[in-house]
Amino acid sequence: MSLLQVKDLVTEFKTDQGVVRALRGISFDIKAGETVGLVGESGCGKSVSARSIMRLIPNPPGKISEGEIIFDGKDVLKMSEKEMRAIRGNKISMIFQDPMTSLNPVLRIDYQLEEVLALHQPNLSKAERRQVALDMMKKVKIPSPEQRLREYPHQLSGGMRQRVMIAIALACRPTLLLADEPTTALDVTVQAQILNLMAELREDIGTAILLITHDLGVVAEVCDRVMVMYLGEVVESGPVEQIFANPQHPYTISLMKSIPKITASRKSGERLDTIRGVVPSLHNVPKGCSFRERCDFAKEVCDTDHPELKETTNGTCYRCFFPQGQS
Amino acid sequence: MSLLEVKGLVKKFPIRKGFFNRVVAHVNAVNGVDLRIEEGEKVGLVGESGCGKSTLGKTIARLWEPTDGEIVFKGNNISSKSMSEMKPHRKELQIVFQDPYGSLNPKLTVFQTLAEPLKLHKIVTGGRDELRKAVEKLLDTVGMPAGAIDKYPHEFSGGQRQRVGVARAIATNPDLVIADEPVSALDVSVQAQILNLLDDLVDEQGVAFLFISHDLKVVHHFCDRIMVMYLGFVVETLPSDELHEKASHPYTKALLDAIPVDNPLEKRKRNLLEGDVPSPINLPSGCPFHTRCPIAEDRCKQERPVLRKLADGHEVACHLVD
Repeated sequence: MSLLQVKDLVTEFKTDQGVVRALRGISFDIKAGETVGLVGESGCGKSVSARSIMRLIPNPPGKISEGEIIFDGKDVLKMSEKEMRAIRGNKISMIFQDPMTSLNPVLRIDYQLEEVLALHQPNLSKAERRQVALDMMKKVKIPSPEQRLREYPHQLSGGMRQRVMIAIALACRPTLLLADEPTTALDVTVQAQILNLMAELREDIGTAILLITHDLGVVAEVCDRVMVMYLGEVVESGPVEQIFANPQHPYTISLMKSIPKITASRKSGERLDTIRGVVPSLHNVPKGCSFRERCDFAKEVCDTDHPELKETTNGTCYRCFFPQGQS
Repeated sequence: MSLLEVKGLVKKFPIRKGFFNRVVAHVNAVNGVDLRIEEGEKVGLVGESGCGKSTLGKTIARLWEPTDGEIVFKGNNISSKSMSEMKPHRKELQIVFQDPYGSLNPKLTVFQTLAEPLKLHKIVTGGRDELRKAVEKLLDTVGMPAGAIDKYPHEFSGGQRQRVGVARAIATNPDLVIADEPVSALDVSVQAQILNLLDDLVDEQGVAFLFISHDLKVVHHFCDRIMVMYLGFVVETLPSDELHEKASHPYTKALLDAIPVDNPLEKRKRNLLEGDVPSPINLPSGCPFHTRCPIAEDRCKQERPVLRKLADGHEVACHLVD
């Protein structure tokens, strides 16, 4: 059975110009211990997905209006706020993009790390909490952890703060970790360290990870499966090996092509493949296929009919009438 | 004669503390950088945050006062010119900033933003009609619709704003544009559009670029020559075509290794750097990279390596590379 099952999830926001649907019916599941990547460009609904699972959508203006989120056999959307609090940071935890602002600047690291333990494991004594905190700091490989525990966030570098965030998120050994662009604000060398660390901890604790990122390279490196989102919908999903070897949806293909690559056969002034136009506004989502206006392969049917997710024989899904991969 | 020649450029920022605001230390942002850009050349400056790449760019554009060193632009030494003496040079040396949200005045329309340099440098001397025509032409060059002319920055997406930023930089027909992380705030598909636009400008107008970025993939794609900076020092400079095979400084190699590869089948053994970049307030002795270098020896802790030539166009600052 899947650890997490999301079915036809719709999340809406009220704005001055009317209601926008940030998620337009997304469905996916995550199995225990698996790493799933969620990629797409800004505004495609990646972060809203994670926040919906955590029920962290501010209401108003936001609202989860349709769908189900089944975690561990129970519907998260039907839980009381009290039940939800027992899950957040305990069974499901989250890491945010910005390590500079997601820690409280006026509290010491030890307080912030032990707080989550005090909340979710009240039977631990103070000394035991301290010990777990220290173990976590060692696990995320922070040098001189005893000293760092007594420091404030501003005394730590960006990479170290993100390590502390991971330590806090994993302190209660959650079964699901939602990582929202955990390495975007970091330098590449530090990003590589953090990705390695996350992979190690996954082996160690067995946490399933939903990794949200806009970097396809990161996905290829650490994920088992990937979902590509566009305008609040999943347009393609499947095992990373298949998706990278043989993408079907024109959006996935263009996205992969628009990234410069470091190869020996570089030509000066060579043009990159681009996707023309801009992402349409959520206020007037095109009828039919939402990628239609930017797609080179669109035909009349794409204007009128909304493509459904189609399954292929090798376990991938795509939402397109005219898939461009090899079948 | 090169378009731009920078010799021994140093930029330190004083740290003041205490009752008398005494200078207690310096942030050593740029520590003696030599740089040369030919006409129409695209030079990339790459490094991690805090390595001094933006400071170097802004100092060359004289948005910062250099602490020491020479900046010779088109044969004129501009390193100690006053602000008013700089004005004619600003026309020829423009800058594009990273943040397309913060670098445009939100209270000015696109027309006002783009007309300002044209008036200031007396490129268009006629009336409003002539100005409008010139601005429309600029918008066309950067691939913006003419209807954008009376709009305000908030009406545009990030990519469109960056196009306006580029239009403002090329309005004066500069010879050199310093582009400080021009695509870092953009999504990959928009990033590709802007990179293609910059390439067009090089082809059509012969603009030279000093392209500053933390993204080695982007720099490798766009630039002819790459300079890698670490803690305010240039540690390696080489042609982009050779990056893949001939990069020799351990830091350049580590940067290359750290980039995630978008091929899930390629399982690599990566050589990861440990730790963080040291503070630029207390620079390490000897080689600035020795604290994180996987191959450092005793010698690296004492002697600071200088750039030396490995091959044509390929220089490296490391004791241990042949």
